[in-house]
Amino acid sequence: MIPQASSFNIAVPLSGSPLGCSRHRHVVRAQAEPSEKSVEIMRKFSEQYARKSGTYFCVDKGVTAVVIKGLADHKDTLGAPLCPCRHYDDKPAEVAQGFWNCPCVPMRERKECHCMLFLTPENDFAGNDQAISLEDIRATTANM
Amino acid sequence: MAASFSFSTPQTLPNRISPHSNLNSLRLFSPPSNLRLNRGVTARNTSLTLNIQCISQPKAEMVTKDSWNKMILESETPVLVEFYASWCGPCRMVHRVIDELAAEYEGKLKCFVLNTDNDLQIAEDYEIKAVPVVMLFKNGEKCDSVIGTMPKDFYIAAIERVLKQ
Repeated sequence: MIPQASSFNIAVPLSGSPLGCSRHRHVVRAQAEPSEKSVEIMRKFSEQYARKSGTYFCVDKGVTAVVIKGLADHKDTLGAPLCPCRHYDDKPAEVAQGFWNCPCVPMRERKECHCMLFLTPENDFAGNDQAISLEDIRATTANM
Repeated sequence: MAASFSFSTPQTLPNRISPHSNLNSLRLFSPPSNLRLNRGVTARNTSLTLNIQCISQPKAEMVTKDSWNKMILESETPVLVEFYASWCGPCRMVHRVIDELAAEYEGKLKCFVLNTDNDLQIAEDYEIKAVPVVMLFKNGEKCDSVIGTMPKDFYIAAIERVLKQ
């Protein structure tokens, strides 16, 4: 990664304000990788819950992998696996409220997962697997 | 400014870039508002693909709160915006469809994507809850919206309705 850094330096002088734009405000949040520990916890949870609920992962495992990482990210940053496929005004409040903590209420009650993590067999996007390896997750999210 | 990117758009795909290394400085001088998402490549990397995008088929560009008025509300052509979240798996499937539509409707419809994690206010203004949401605008007015992950034909039907209006 270092060699590429040099190519960017060319453009840096154009930026006048050294502090004005903080990466902590916008950039890092979206690009920080969740911890491996949380990814593993959420991966195992997803496999178990798929079996328990009789649902299957998406035929496109990239979808599954991204959602598992999103759950792990929320677990890291918020303490609970809040659904990553929604927009919230106030994430900590949502976590406390619990409705959209995975498995969310619509999933538990009606097997509805709009994140497409848990798909009922008749869903067009459902694959045949209830398992996803850490390697699958790495491979499908490698170029993100 | 695009010229400075030509050094960095190469063969090596952007996934080797450490998230913390130099994107920060990129952002300072050039917010990636005119960039687009490539298949499987997330917003943080799009800056690196600028040159490639410029010479390839049109695809959905990134829009932010700063460019919202100009790109969306003041657009002379009808506009499609996909609202997504950083870790939303199905959003990525929809990105691909929207990219295809951007090419197929070139000249008739402009396609954009907006990250709701970065642009909270716009997401709230348009009452985004579940993502992805695909919204269609014409003459600065919101005409239609599609919530969730739908087959391509579904988006085409919505676009055709708006174009015929």
